[in-house]
Amino acid sequence: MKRFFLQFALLLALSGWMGSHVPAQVVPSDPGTREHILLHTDRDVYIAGEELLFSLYLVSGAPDPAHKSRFAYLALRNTDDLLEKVVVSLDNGSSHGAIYLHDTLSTGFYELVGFTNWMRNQGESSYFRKSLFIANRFDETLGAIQRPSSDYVGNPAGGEEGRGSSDEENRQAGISITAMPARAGQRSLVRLQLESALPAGETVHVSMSVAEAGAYFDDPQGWTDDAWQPVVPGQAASHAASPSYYMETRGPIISGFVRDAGGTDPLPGARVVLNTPDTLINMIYADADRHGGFHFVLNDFYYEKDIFLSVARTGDMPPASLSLSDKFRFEDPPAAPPLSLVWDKHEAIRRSQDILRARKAYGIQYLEGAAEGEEGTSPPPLIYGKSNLVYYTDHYVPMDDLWEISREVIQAWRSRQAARGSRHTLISGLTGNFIEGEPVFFLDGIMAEDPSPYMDLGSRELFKIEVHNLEWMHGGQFFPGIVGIFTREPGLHLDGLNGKYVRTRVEAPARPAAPISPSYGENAARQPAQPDLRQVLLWEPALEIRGGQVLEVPFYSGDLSGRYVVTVRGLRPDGIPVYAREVIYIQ
Amino acid sequence: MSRTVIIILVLLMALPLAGGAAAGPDRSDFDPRLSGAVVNFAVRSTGSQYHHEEWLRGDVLLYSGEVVPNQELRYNGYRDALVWLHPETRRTIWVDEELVREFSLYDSRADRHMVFERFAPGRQSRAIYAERLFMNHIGLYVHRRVEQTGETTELRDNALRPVLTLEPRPVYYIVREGEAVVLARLNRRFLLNLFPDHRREVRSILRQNRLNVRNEYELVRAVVLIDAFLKDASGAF
Repeated sequence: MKRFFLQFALLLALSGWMGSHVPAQVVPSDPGTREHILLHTDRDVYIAGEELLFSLYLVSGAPDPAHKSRFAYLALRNTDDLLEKVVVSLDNGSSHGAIYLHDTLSTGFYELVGFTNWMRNQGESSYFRKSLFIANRFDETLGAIQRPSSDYVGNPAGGEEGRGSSDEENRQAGISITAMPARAGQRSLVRLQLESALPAGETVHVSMSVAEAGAYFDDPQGWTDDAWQPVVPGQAASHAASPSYYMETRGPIISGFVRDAGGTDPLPGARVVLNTPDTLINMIYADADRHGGFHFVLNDFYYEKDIFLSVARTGDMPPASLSLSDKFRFEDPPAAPPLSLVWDKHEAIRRSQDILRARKAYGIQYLEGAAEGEEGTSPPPLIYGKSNLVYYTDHYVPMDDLWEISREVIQAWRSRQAARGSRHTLISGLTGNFIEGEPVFFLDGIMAEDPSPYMDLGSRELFKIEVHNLEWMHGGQFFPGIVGIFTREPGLHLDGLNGKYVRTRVEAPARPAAPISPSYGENAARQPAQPDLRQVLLWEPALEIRGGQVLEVPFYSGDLSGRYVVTVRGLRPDGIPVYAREVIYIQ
Repeated sequence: MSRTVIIILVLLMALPLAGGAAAGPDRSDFDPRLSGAVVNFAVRSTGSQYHHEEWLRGDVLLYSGEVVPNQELRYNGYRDALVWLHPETRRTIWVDEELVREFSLYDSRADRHMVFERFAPGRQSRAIYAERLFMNHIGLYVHRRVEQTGETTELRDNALRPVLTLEPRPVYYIVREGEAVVLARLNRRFLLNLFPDHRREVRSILRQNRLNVRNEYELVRAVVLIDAFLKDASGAF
């Protein structure tokens, strides 16, 4: 007996040990990994109607450098609204792009927030935040910055500076900038030489902007601030025991909860189905965990598409309600910077408003791309490759409704009206017998629990009907046959699907934007056809400065004379931010 | 070892299981899935429909590029179907061939790893599953076909039921420059006919290596040697 007990105990212990290793296989990321975002924008002060250029760096504490988020999110907001939501895909932990600042934005302070899905586990305090000032193009009085404010508590992790340059500061920051010449004429060549203090073989990844000095706040903030805490590989995060959100290493993830109809108690094990309208029946599903949470990893097939989520019907599952977790829902309000940051910017802002109006009037663009998101190339997640039976309504005489179509044309589909809706059965294409249970219906690719609402659709509305009259398994989901109904105008009839769906849209990651940098060469004087009204002379979002080497970046000045600030920001290989600035003059 | 110590040991070892469960949802939700028809009937036969009678572990590569790993699979040569044993329901599923690019089977007893891919013998031909025996500059595939060679009846449940006579009838294909040629019979002459430009050299290779090409093993060896010769003979091969 004692021996048996010992064996039993050892078996239990072994199973416990094996169980403890399960998360290593099923959890995609080390729960203790910390991530942080660093953002560099080309300026601090913008005019509505311009593009905001950004460069984004992800710093991960994951011991495996390949195991870090591949997607990051940017939100532009003010105290009242969330104005812009941007998804970017990260290439080796960095990305860059542009955000168009809509003409209708009112004058005031805004905040740019950067985060990853994984950082949601760390709390909003870990998000990168940067205050910006945006002036409406048509706001001539700039009344919003007339009023002083006394409630400024500081902006711990964002902001730029309008200070004069300091060679000593630059040296301490690890980057030195040499401008040749420091004073240049209009449309003339300027060379910037960047040098890193790192030893040979080590590379600093930086972005660089050269913009009018008036486009920066007169307050030193940002990356040299103590609020930035470098992420140390292996450093555990406070959420290590129970992360709620996945690291997006394969694709954007949408998460949500299944609860009972009252929206209070979680429904563990409930199966959530995700479809998108398509001419092919596609489906992925996820089972709710013990907290009722569910997660879907979406590949690029879903980019720029509406997706429908519903709870699959099962015999013993009570009525359920679905809710999605909104990545862009913030609890913390935006920082409230002091108006003194822009107190003396009236003149510079008015000048920028005039310049932007002139650019708009003449249709002068300084940015290429960025308008559309990435295009998807992945195939749809099909339930079946080819339907067993396909009926094109145009091949038959017009019929009034699906009752008539199923009765007259589709022999394998038996439908009848019942006291509560309709009853449907399929005859198996394998055995010739009736398939037990009712088939699952899809309308334009969306799973529809009850087909009754669209049984009135006829040949005029319908294009194709697929009948997959087989008992079918897709992963762990069983279908007693499938009927796919495709309308001539996909999406038109989806609103009538009983309101049992949560509908959302998957935004595609923004494409990188490329600023246009004119090259005047020797003949600058002979190319005055179009005025060069660039206020940002240079934006290089992805530069690599190798230790022991000098990186030279040439560019041409424009027609606007004045004081320009060169800012360089980025990351050392150990995740420590670097920063440098220099001033040049265009005369 | 006292009972108390054992209990403490068990509890200590089991603790990480509870902690791990909280670490996140099951990643299987993110993995690709197999689809197919549930088969709830059986064909009575003498001779097997299957290439391997037992379930073997293997991976399935889908046309989407995704891999469904470590499933229990069999190849049905009579139906030309990949058969999947559903891990939860233990039901037999004929996997949707339209979604499968290739699958592998691992025979642990023979320590043999087999790869079957969707293979179209000709441009107009219907694609079949064929085992890839060799692939380099030339390829060798075998369709593990099982054919009905006869039919008898047996009395069962007061009714006469058909019993099929099934026999394995493999078909071999040699692929050169994207063209598949069927090897009508396993013998030296048919193999030589496939290489008319190098007939003498191929014959010499087969003689030197004492290969009569009477069985699959010798065929694979012969194709490997011919492939090496052709590669040497023609740099542009």
